Amino acid sequence: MSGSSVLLVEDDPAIRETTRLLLESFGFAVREAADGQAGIDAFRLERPDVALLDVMLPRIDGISLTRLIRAESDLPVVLLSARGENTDIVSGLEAGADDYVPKPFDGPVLAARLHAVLRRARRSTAEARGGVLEAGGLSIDLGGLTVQADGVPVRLTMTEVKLAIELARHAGIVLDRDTLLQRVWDYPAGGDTRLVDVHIQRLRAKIGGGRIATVRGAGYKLER
Amino acid sequence: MLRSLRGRMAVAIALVGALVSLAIGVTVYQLTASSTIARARSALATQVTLAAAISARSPAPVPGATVGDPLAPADLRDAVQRGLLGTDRIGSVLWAGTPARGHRGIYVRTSLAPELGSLATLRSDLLLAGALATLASALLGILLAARLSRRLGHAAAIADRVAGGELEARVDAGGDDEITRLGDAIDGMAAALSERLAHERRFSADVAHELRTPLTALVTASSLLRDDRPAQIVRERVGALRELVEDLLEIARLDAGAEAVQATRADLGELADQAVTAAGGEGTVTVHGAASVVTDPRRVQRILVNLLVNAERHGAPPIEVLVEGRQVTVRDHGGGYREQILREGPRPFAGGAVADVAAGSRAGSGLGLVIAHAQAAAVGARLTLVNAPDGGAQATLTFGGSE
Repeated sequence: MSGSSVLLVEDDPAIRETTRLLLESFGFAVREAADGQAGIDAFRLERPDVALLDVMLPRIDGISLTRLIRAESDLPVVLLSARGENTDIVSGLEAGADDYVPKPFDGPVLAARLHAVLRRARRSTAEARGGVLEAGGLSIDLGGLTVQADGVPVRLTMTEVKLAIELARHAGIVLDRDTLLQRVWDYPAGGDTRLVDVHIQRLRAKIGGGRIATVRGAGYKLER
Repeated sequence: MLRSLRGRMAVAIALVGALVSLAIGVTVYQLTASSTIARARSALATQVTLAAAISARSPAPVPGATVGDPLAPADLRDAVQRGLLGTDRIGSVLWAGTPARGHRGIYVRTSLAPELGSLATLRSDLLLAGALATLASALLGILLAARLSRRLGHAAAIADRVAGGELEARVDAGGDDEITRLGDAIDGMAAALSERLAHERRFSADVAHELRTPLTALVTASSLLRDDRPAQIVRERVGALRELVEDLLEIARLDAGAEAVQATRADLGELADQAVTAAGGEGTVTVHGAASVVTDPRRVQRILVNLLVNAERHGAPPIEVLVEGRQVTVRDHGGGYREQILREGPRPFAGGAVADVAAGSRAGSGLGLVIAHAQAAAVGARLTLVNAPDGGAQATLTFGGSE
């Protein structure tokens, strides 16, 4: 996982530089961009392993940039958000970001988030034993990590695939948000459960709303 | 009764009513009495003139009239002897006399009893009317004053609520009088107060937001420093600055009500255990029948961790956490909360929440308790701060409801 390339898009030069130094100290190769336009150019040119985007960016903001990247690829996207700007976080996740890290951040925390999202993206090898998981009208090819809903292929990000696998493996059983956060995002206890909520929304939009039930005060389950 | 505006106004209006009825009554009575007596005098004078005319033509006695009546009042007889026609009244008897038959004169008299009787009736009618008018004006005064005092009382209650922190309370006085103006003035004051408060909150939120960008670079850069003493100091101070900025941002979020409460069922005993672990492990948890409550576990965690950190930094061990039903109590054995906190509740930068015992320990910002308080309000729980009778700060978080 070290040696993975990170596209870092951040307009504040001091944050950009220190974050690059930090990521390099954790073994990442860092490509920097100072605004959204430079970010999308660098993404198209260099095809990094993961994108780390500030939300507030000149020219193209981080949320629009996420949407542009998502339109072209399933590249893992992690947002650097100003903590407390809630609409930013939720709209960033809705735009397709896989995770977010609030500023200011600790080096190990940022590295852990990037590693987790990279693990999800590369899990194709880990899950290569293959097989097909079928539940609730979903058919998940664990080898190729492709998903069909009622026989129709749907395009999911790796985070969404992982979420679908967790739900399908426990079809008919309620999984609470903390459990999903731990199993899909590798969060220790106490992460932001909106990650789960927004990803469930996105998954529902892609595979059809009726399949995943919300159990109030408890969590989510895939209908058998 | 006289201390209240209502009482004083009622009494004043009743007094005015009484005075007015008295003045009108006296005037009416005087006028009526004098015109009644004057009519009787004039009728009697006509009668005596007639009697004198009859007696001039015939020597026979005139019925109803007497000649030279010794019972007539002395003043009247003097006047008659001087050749004048006169009337005089003794008690309820009215006399009239006129010169006739030489110097003896002729006199008639009549009883004024019917006139005096009707005047007496008039007097008691007037008294009754006056009493009724006084009573009516007193009632009117009470009603009027009650309305005034109700409106004033409402304005005072609103002012109290605004003072108690309910900044959106308004008098909304209708009408167009002085009380309306008072109500409008109170509303204006409340609006100005809430505007200023919002401005201050925006300001501190903006400051915290602005500090975050340079702080982010600082936190990252300081984590990359070589591990020597100066680097340790920088890291430690940057950490303190970060905590301060994050606390301010959290308060700004709480003030704005920006985050939805994520309620789920949680066991208070487990939450207490997790909080002690998260706060660094200091503190022993005792559980007596912990309830499970529907709440936002992360916010509860935040409250308990803040209380524990506060106890650790500003209090003294042992730190005890007691979970009893729907209540969690965090208690230390230090110097207890400062008097001002107990009196006014936690406030930012009020100079440290706890009377510091350990020499050289810094007073905290007090933000931790402010956050704990606001988070408790956000999840519908109550946080009460007291000093234990045998010393030490004691914070109790009580969850409402009975699920």
